[in-house]
Parts: sequence; structure tokens; C-alpha cells
Amino acid sequence: MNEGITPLLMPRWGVDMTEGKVVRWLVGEGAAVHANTELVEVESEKAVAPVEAGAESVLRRRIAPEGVMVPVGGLLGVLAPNGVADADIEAFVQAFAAPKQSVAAMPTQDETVTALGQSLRLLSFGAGDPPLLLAHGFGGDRRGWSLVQSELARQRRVISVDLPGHGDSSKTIASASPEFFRDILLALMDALGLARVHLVGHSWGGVLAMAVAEQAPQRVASLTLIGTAGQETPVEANYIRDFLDAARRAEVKTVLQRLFADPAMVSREMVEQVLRFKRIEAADDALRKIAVMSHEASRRPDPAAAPSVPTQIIAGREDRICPLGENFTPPQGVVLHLLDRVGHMPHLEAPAKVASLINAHVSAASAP
Amino acid sequence: MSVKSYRAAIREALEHEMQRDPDVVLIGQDLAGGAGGGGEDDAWGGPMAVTKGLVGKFGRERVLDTPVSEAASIGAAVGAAAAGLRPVAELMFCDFIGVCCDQILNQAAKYRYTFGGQDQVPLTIRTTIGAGQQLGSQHSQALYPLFSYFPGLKVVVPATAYDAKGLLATAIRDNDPVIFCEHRLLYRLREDVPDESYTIPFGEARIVEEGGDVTVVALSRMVHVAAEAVRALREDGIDCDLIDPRTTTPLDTDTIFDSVEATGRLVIVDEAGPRCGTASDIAAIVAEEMFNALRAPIRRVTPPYAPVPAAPELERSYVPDASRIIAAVRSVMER
Amino acid sequence: MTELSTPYAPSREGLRGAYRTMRRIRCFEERLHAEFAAGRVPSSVHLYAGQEASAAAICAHLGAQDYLHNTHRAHGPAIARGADLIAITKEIYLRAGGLCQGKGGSPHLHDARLRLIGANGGVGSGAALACGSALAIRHRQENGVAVALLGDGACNQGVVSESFNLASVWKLPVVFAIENNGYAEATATSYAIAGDNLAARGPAFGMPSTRVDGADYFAVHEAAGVAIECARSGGGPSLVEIMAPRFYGHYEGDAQKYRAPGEVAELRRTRDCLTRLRQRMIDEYQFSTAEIDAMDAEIGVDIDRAFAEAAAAPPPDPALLMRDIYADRSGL
Repeated sequence: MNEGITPLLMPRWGVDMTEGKVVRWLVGEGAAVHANTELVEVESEKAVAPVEAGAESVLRRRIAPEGVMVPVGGLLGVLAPNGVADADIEAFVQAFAAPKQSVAAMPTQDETVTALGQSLRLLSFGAGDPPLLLAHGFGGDRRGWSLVQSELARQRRVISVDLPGHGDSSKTIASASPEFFRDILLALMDALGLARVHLVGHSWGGVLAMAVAEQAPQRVASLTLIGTAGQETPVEANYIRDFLDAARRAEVKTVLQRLFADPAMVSREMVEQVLRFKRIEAADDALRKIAVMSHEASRRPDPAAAPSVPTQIIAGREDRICPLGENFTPPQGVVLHLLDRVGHMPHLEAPAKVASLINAHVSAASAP
Repeated sequence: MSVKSYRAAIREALEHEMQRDPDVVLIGQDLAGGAGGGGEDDAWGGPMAVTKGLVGKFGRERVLDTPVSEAASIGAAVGAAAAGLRPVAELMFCDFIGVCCDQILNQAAKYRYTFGGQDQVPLTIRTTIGAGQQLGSQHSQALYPLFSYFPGLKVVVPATAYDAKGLLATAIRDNDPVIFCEHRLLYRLREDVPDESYTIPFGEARIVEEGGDVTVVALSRMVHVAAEAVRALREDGIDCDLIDPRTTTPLDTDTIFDSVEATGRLVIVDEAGPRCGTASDIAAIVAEEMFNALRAPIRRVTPPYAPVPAAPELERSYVPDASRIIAAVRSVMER
Repeated sequence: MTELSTPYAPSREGLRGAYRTMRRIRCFEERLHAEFAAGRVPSSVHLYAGQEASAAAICAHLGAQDYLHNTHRAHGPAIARGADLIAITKEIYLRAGGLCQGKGGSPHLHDARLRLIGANGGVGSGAALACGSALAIRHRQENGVAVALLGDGACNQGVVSESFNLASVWKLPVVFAIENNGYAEATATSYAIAGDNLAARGPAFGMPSTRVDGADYFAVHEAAGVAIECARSGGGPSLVEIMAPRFYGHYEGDAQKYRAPGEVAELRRTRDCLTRLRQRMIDEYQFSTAEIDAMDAEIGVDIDRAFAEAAAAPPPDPALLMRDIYADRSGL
């Protein structure tokens, strides 16, 4: 009965794409089409492009109206030769099953929130509060959590944010001080109506997360520090300077390789992404200011020696950027997980392990 | 970050640079589109509609419409640059270089050198290139190899909206004359482009794809045609490195050498002609420097040694397409 | 003292300076002529002798904010603009320490600090470049002007007509000063200039225009003064055609067989701007012959020194071959 009927589906361009917007139809119902006739223009997060017919046929139905979001695999329209009866097409449309939700297609929201006058871009995944709030490191952004985010979102909502000066948030920063960034995270929680969160911070983001926990312990259900043990952790002296000064692809690649136990982890895409970010002048300016302020802050004594919230540290044994040192012992009550063959980027180098450690830590902290 | 066309990305770079530096002025025909008529101001915004809106923001003192006088207006842009402005001159079609060669090839290119380094010429000439619009032999050429022949000039051939914006900002800030070649068929290409100002250094190729079997070097619009070929070849088990040099002067030979070192096979795709062109240039450099790494003869995929015809059927067989690139890659894989 | 009615009448001091400049140019070119004949000049040179009043009178109106775009007959205007005589000579000799470090040569004498812009290989492009200088001047509100020196030959280049039009359309502070010496290389203006009148082209482009006798310093001084003041005060471009005789060939080594027998001798006898200026300075400005002779003697010393230094100067540093091709070498 369905012979000759071809559904026109929302395509998936790239692993990040979960849905697309129907921008406009390029062909009317009843039009004969070739394989490469462009039928409808679709907008994903990354591009606007036409969807082609794929085979010679007739566009019988335009199902998705212009302007609506359609999940990947959702029905945009129906193609069938003129010989197929209208009733058969109607039946096909009625019987068409909406795509099953996968982890990747879980409700996600890429939104922009204003906090302390700064525009912040964040990505929410999954459901269930209090959520996990993920703070990236110096020069990073929300996309750095991509390998752990889905796994963490199985249990609760996960929010990753681009801190000011980073990613798609405001590049012009109101201040570069750690206190400002601490307050940004608190203001972000206010803006999202979050009384409490499980905080995860990587490197510089970890230092900020720790500052939030000191300032407002009642709002932090648990704390996970990755690649840092706080402000006293020495940062490899030249890394920040080299990162800032790397201008060309080869230089950036070399610098990024120092972050990983296995330099092969540094992909062309990663280098390209970092280059694109660093080349934005306002971002470069923000990074340089943050670097100066963090450097000054790191000379102060560590006030977070005994955190009052459940805290764990995840670090790589081969971390050359913030090495914890042979003699490092975590403060009382803090659990340290040292991962073998991992450098400064555990959430990229051992994502499954990091996700399970965070999930376990959050569960333990949530237990009555 | 937002989705922008190649055209809008170029306009944004112009606007940012004009805001950043009051010495940046635009010079060209119909830029304010045009001056002196009884109708709407800024009706065209340039023959390619790239400068639309800029005259309203910056005024006619900085967006200067010219008579149809490429020699005088490009020459004036050279003189203004040498006198300390940062002009961005528009040469509507690169084919029109025929009427202002002296200004570009003798004045702009050699000003600094001839006068013993006393001056610099921070001039950008935006021009358009490429076949595919049935415009015929005098509006369709890809003449960037001609510019690269001349020491003193820098030459940019952006293939994407992101690259166009960042490379144009670099061109305008650069203290040497830069020929910025916009492919007209790319103006409507859209992709994510940061809203903020950024620059991309000259002489850094973009590695579009990493494969390892064959090195494919392609320029300007040919990057997209080559990408189509590379995708098709991948389904057949041939993985290509695809490299877009982005600037032909300076030329990032290191990136090409690194790739050829690994693959031993090189195919160059160029919309410029087969004689004395960029493909020939790259082939010669690689043959000279990397001969021992090569496992097959270098192949060039270019138009034939003919002017660009106007009829669509003829023009289609003039411009290299994916099937020709696929055939060239296969032929080097057989060796 | 004679009262002159125009505001552009030169002062007595001005005349002293103009005479010195013109005499310096004449001595320089005559010396160069002799050096060339003796085989000591390494490149082609085009002598300015006979045309001195043009450069001297124009430069008398120019200040530091103004641009002078030169022709390939470059030595006279470079001297008049105040470029260092030794550096000029070393450049003509293609030696280290030349104005352009020996990379330009005789036609390309250029001194950026003096806003003296070197000539173009294909003549006429200076007209367009001068439009650019004028645009920059106006953009920076510098109250300056750009003067483009052009030969009669260059005026038949399309770019010059385009530049006349562009300057007029944009109302640029430019003066096009055409030095009509009667010959484009070996071809006479009577053959190559339709209408035989370049000044007539100005009005066609909406420009004030005048033709003056280049042998008469006072006439050139006045015409240049009017045109330069017009540009400086926002009145837009003008054209001045200066009929200036050429005492030597197109270039050194030119046998000039295309010129009528006795033509040059006649020009030297009747239309020598220096002789005429000297006579008027004595007749109308109370200069003594001894005073002027003393100036002449002093200039001879400068010239001897410039040629001696140029002859003794070393060749350019070999590294200069690859230097100053680009200002920004990033990525190269």
C-alpha cells in the first residue's frame, strides 16, 4: 500500500543536531521533482541548507509548516508518484511514528541568560533538580563537556555555561577577578531560579566553583573539582603565556598537546575551535585580563582548605599543567581520584570514568 | 555567533574595520549605489550589494563612489594608502584589471621596494572572480595567479564566510597591498560566523579534511567542489586530505608539504587556467622540494586552456567539477 | 623697487632662493651630462635643463604638508623640493646612501619626509596617485595640496584624463602641472597632441586652466600660486600648462636628430629661464652682477662635493635585494 511513498525527514547534520527549523518551502505540493531538487530550507544550529528530494518523484504533502522546529527524523513532507492515491498518503501520514527519543535527542535547550549585565550562553540537557552546573576551564567553553554531558543527563538536568569572555557569551568582561566570576555563577543560579546545584569545575572553573562553595555553601549540594585542587595548585608557569601567544595552527596544536597525556587526543577540530575563539579580539583581551588576575589570586593563601560541602577531586596522574605533586594529600573529607594515563583533561581523556565518578558523588551527596 | 552569508560576513568586516580605524575609506563604483541620481540613496550598495548600508553609517566622505575610471580610482587608492589612509578599493570584476594594471602591478606592488622602504601601502583591493553565471569571457575569470606573480602584493582567496570575514579584517590592517578575491558564486553561502571582530593570519592554510591517502589542494570555490569529491571518494574507501591555502601569497607550503610527506600523492584543483596558474605553481614547488616523497605524478585539475565561454553548457564543461577531481584522485591512486 | 600688483609676486628673498635653485639644477644637469658622456653614470638619465623655472616656481608655494608627484625627468623637481643633493646624486649613481638606497634610480627620486613622490615607469600614473595624496590630505584636514607634475607625453595616457575627471568630481586639492617641453621622447607635440593645446583640456573637466611661458619664472610663479591657492582654499583642482624648453635629449645619449637643425641653440639663446631671471633680478630688483656671480660660485662647490661622494660611495648592501618587498612579513 505504501509502495512509492517516501517520507521526507528532518535530516541530521552532525552529531550535535537534535532538531531543525523549517525555514521555508522551496517547492509547492504537486510539483514533480528530481533527485537533486531542493525541497525545503532547514536551519540547524550550524547552518542553513536545503533538503533535497533524493529521487525522482512528486511532492504530495508539505507536513511541517514554515517556522516550526522538527526533531531529527521527524516528518517534513511526503513524496510519492501521482499514481499513489491521496487516501494512501493520508494513511501513511497518520501511521508515521514520531522519532523515539534517544539520549542525544533528550530535551535540550541552548539559551542565553543575562547575569550581572553579561550575556551568558548555556546548554541544558536532561531533567531533574537540583541540576549539575558545569564550569569550564580557562579558554574553554560549554562544548568541552560534550563527552560526559549525555551520561550525566541520564540522572538529572545538566547545565553547562560559557563563562564571560568565553564561547558564545559576552566577550567584553565587566571584571576579570575570581570574585566576579564567582558572583556570575551565583547570579546565573538566581536567574535560573536554582536554589541549589551540584557544582563541577575544571581547572580555573574549579577554582571558581570552590569560591562559590565558600561564599554560599548552602547552595552547593556537592562539589567536583577536575584538574585542580584549588587556588594553591601550581599552574605550569609558561602554559598560560604560551596558550595566549599561540597565534597559528601549529603553535596552538603544540600548546594544547601539553594538556593531554596522549598528544594524539588533540584533533584538528579542537585546534580549529580554539583558534576561532582566541582570534576574536575581545576574547583574547578577556583571557589576558583573566590570566593576570588569576595569577595575582594564586599568590594568596588557600582559604578553601576544609570545604564545608561534599567535595571530590578528579585529576590525571600525568597532568603537566596543574600537577598535584607527589606529596599532595587532600584536605580532610575530600576524596581524591587520581586517574592513570590521564593529563589535565580527565573529562575528555577518560569521559566514562569521570561521568561515573560524578554520578556516584552526586548520588552519595543526595542520599538522605 | 549567527548564521551569515559570505556577503554579509564581508560587509561586517568592512563595518568593524571602519569603526575601528577612521582612516579606512571605501572607494569604488556604485558603492553608495550610487551618487547623484534623483532616486533612493544607497539603492545598490555596490554592484555586489556588499557595501549596502555603509554609506548611511559612515557618510559619503568615507564611502566614495567613483566614475567608471578604474585606472584613476585604483591609482588614487594607492596614493591615498601611501599617504597614510587605509583605503579599501573595489574592482568590480578582476577581469577589469586590464584597465588598471599599472596601478596595481607597478605602483601598489613596487612602491615600497622602489623607494627603498621609505613607505608602506596599506591598501586592500576587493575584487570578484569566477565562472558560473554565464557572464562570458570578460566577467568570469579567476585571475589571482596573475597577482601572485608580483612580489609586493598579497593575495587572498577565501572559500567560506568565516574565512572571508577574518581574512578581510587582516587584509585591511595589513600594511601591504592585498588583493582580496571574492568568488561571486559564494556570496550566498551561509554558515556560523562570530558576530565579534576577529582576524585570521595570512599564510595559514585550512585543513578542511584529513584522510591520509591523497592530498587535495583546492582554492576558493573549488574547495567546495573538492569537498564534494572527497566525500564521494571516502565512500569508496579513498581518504583525502583536503587543504585550502586561503592565501596564495603568502602560500602555506608547510601544510602542503606535511600532507604530501604522508600521502605521497597530490591533486591540485584550481579555477584559474592550466598555464602559469596557482596549480602549476604549487605543483612546481612540491616537485622541487618533495620529489622523493611523491609516489605518483602530481595531477592538476583546472579549466582547459581557453577563455571562459558564456553558454551554460560550455561553461559547465569549462569549470572543474567533482567527477574530474574524483577521476584525478583515482588516477594517482593507481600508481 | 618695482611694485607688482598680484599677490603672488615673489619677494627679493624669494627670488634669491629661486635663482639659487634654478642655478643648482642647471649646474647639476650640465655636470651630469659631462659625467654621462665620460661613461661614469651607470644608468639612463633624463635631464631637466631648460625647465628649471617650473620646478622652482611651483616649489616656492609648497609647504611641508604638500605633496609633489615627480616625473621621470626627476632631478630638477627633487632639488627644488629640497632633497639632499648628495643623496640624489648617490641614487642616480645607484650607490649606498642614495635617496632610495640605490633601488630606484634617476626617475624614482623619492623622499617621503619631504612628500616628494618618485615618478612612474609608465608615465601618467602620478596623476592618479596625486588624487590619492589629495584625498588623504582632505581626510586629515591638513590644508595641503598635491601637485602632479606631468609631461606633455603623459597627458595622452588615459589615466591622466581619468584623473582630471576624478579630481574634479571629488573636488580634490590637486594641481596638475603639465611641463610641455615640446616632445614626448622623440615625437613632437605638434604631431601627438590633438588640438596642440593641453590647457584647453582643463575646462572640459570643469577645471580652471592656464598656459604660461616656462622660460618666465614670474609667469610660472603666478600661475602656480593661483592654482595652488585655489586648491588649498577648497576650490578644487586646476591645470597649469607650462611651456618649458628641453635643452638636452629625451635621455642622455639621445642624438636628437628629430629636432630641427639649430633648434636647441635657438632655444638656449631666446628661452633660457635662468638668463631671463638673472636679467630681471638685476634690472628690477637691484641685484648686482657680483652678487649673482657669488651665488653661482657657491653652488659649484656643492655640486663637486655631491659628485665626488657619489663616485666614491659603495654599492648597496647585497641584502637589500630581498628587503622592503613587504612591510609586514608575517606568514611569508
